Amino acid sequence: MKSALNLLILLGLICQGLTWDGYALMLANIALWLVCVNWPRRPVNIPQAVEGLVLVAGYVGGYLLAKASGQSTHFALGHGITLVQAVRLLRPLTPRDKRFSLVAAFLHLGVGCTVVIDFRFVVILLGAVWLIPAALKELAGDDYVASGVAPVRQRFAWGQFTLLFLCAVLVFTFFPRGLLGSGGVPSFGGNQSSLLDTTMDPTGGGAAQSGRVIFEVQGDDLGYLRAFALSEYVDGMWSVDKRPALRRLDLIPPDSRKGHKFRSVRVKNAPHLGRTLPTDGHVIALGGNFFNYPLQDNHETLRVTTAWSVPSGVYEYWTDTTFSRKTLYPQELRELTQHPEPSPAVEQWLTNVLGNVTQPLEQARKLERYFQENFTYRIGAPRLNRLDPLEEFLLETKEGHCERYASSLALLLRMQGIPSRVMVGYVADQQNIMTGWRPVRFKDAHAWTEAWFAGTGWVQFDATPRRTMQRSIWDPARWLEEADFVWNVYVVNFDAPSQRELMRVGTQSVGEVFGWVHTHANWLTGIIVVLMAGALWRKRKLNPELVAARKRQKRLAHAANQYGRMLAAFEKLGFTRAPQQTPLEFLGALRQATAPALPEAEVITQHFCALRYGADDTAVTEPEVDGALEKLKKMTNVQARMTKE
Amino acid sequence: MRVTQTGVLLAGIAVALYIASLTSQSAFLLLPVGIIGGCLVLNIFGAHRSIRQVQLKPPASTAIAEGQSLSQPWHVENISPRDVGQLTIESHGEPLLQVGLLKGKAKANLVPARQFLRRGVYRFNQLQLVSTFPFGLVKCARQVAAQGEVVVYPAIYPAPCPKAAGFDAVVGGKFQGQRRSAAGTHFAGLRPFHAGDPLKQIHWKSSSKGRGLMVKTFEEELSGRVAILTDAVGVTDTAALDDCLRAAGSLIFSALDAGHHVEWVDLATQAPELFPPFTDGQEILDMLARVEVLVSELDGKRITDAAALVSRRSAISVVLTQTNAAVEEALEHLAASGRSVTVYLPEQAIENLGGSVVVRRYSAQEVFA
Repeated sequence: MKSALNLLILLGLICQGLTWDGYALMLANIALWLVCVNWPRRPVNIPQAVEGLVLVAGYVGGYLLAKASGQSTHFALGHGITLVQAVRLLRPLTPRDKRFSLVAAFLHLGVGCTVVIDFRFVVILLGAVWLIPAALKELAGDDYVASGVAPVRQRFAWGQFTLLFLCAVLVFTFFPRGLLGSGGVPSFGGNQSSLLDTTMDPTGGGAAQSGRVIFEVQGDDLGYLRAFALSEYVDGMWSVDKRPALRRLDLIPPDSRKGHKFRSVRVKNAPHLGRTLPTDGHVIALGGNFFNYPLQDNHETLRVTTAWSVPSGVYEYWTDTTFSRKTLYPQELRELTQHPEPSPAVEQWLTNVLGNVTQPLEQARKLERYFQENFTYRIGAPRLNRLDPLEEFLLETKEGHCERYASSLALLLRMQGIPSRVMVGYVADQQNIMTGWRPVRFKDAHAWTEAWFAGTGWVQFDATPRRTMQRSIWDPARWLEEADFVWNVYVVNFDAPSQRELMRVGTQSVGEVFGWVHTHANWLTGIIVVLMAGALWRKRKLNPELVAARKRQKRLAHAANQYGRMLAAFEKLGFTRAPQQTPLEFLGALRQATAPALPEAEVITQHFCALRYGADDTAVTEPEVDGALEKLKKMTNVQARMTKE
Repeated sequence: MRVTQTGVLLAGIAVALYIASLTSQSAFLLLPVGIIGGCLVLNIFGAHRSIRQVQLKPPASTAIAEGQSLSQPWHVENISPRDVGQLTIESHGEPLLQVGLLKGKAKANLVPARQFLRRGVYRFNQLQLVSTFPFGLVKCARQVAAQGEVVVYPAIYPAPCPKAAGFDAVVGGKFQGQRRSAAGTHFAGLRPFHAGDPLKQIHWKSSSKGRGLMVKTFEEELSGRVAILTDAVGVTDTAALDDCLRAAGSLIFSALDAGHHVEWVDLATQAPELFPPFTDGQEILDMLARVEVLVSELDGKRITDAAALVSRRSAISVVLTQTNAAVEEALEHLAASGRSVTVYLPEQAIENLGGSVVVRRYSAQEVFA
């Protein structure tokens, strides 16, 4: 059971089990593996023909079962291989059998690589990086079991694991992909976008208020991302312009000049966008890989005639910040000022709010501010009276979601004769902590108002009282979604163009690094030399053997000095050590001569001999030696005084 | 360096996964490809390190007989701080010793389990160190020149003594002559003292009986001469040569045990060797173990030249692996010239020799009388 090959087989069975939705087959495969591995093994010779029959039986059984339970029948052959693996686990395997099992496990692993493309794949990958080399070692070690030094079960090799993981990632990143990742899925049709639904009624079903990321956008000073313009108000309903003025957008990037801003958008799932491309500002050029014929209407929104799904949808656009539309056609003016007849209560409310402000832009600002300060944002507010929803909203409910504020402000502005429209799109007000890009989710759908002023052009107003919006900071699901987006963009959808881009950036970065190094070669060399010298010094200083040797040398020198002082003292006392005498012989001579200060001499000699000829420390301590020397010195002084007298 | 069967299998899987990645549009299939590639690369480094960082110290020189195994240990040392393993030490293309795993700076003393089935000299300067460490995907090999050798002697078996001729009196000879001698091991009788007889030969007990001085006489002890010629010329079947040398060795030992002088000539080298009776057999076996095949064709001249190298009084025993018309003619010519010629041939060998040449047969384990 602990065999790496068996565990690799288990990993393969898990991968095969994940070909079905849910975890039922996976758990069944694990149970099958457990039973087979723990079953008493007997050396049974199963003919290859029988194994072939088992394979076919597994294939047919898996196919029928999958069909009956509404599961995928695509990998039915894998079920046959699963059964063969299980049968083989019931008996001791020959090296040839083990190789077959290894190949079968790889086939299952391949299936896992095809069907499991979410986070679960990380677990499979880590398991594969651990188990494949371990199984190979086990297979190779089988040939050496009878050798003098048989292979033993080794500990988990972190270094090897890391290297193999890096190899896998390197191959994944840099291996030429050829046709890989360039295929596309046929275009999708119809308006699959739920943006309008989400914005108009956030309490509705579908993707409303979902934290799922639709796309990520990168760019400086990002504004509101327009998707639809609701410019027609008929019978109490806002709708998009039925006859917009469209123009083809340039696909060629503009020359770099002041006033142009570049935005890059990565789309996780293009069908969620419908046939619109959310953009901010006045777009002057656009490029992308999942649509044709981008068109821009007179409301600054972009739409495409043909779009399709790709693994990694991207579009980029350039905006002109200096652009402003100074004039509107009479037809447009008529349409953009259409509004229902205001009730007296609404007129009174408007008069009260605006007071004596007459300038249109200031009126708009005041109304916007009034909504922001006096109304409450609320999702799921009661439906409004269909006869006069504006009056009910302004005077009674005073709460609602963004669409109500955008719509109300647009109508109030129109009542004041200011052309206005409701814009629906997204607000990218968060930033992905991993990538720095701004994720846009379904719940980031938003509606705001745009009003046109002569001489100024279109101006955005957002009457939604954002201060009353509840935003959760602690939202693990959001982080998971962000990680999922990163996983999808950087891993799952890592295709040939992404690879080329990475290579280009990598090469460019390497070139820049070399250039920088070349420019700063002089002082870099100096720093490296200093660092190396420091490292060498540190190594020498901190080398335990060298440190111990130095310490011992120092102590020995000190002990030799003490012994020398002792010899000098005894010389004054009339006992001179002959050159041929060893320290112990000299000590013996002192004993024979019953010299004074014999205990002190013993202490100092023992200390010196232990350090000079023994490798270890002495039993005598430094204070004892110093004390003995002090005594000896006093004795010598007394002797000298007596001699003098 | 070469890729093993498992390595080829894994490379095939990697290619298959790559193709699958193209058809299934899943780049994740490249990750197992990367793991396999990484294993191959690590295997190359690991195997290379294993064969470079291992030091071998075989025993100096060992002599064994065919079918025996070595009993002296080999010292294997890993001089690197990292593990090495899956080492196979090969000699003459066959595994001699296997080491599963040797930890960093570890040493091991291992006895090769290999049984040496064939005669020959297995020099340690032709050893090959092979490693597939750690995954068994790539095999790296290195020639190792170590001191020493294993000499595998031909397995000798009891054989009938070959015909001997040219008997001479030799003390301790096992054949009894018709004459008497003054010394020996078998007492023959007494005779009257003749002038010149050594005093120690006098049989004092008989001489004291008044019939004059009597001396002891002994049976004459003789030993013959056997010349054995072996055929290592143009032999393509090494097993046949081994059988031939095994038979020749057995005949030589049989002759030596019988107390004969043995002269041995390898027809390939034409270098005569003389072994006195009761010689220690180590030297003979060593020579037989070192016989090498001469790539040529055995002709009658080699037989004639070899016969000229041995004593004219010796009985010639020619141990051949095969025969041909020229050889047979030379042998018959030798027999006609008065030499005693016996030919030992393999059991299945066909010969057309006349009656003057005695033909005996031998097999892998027996010489037939």
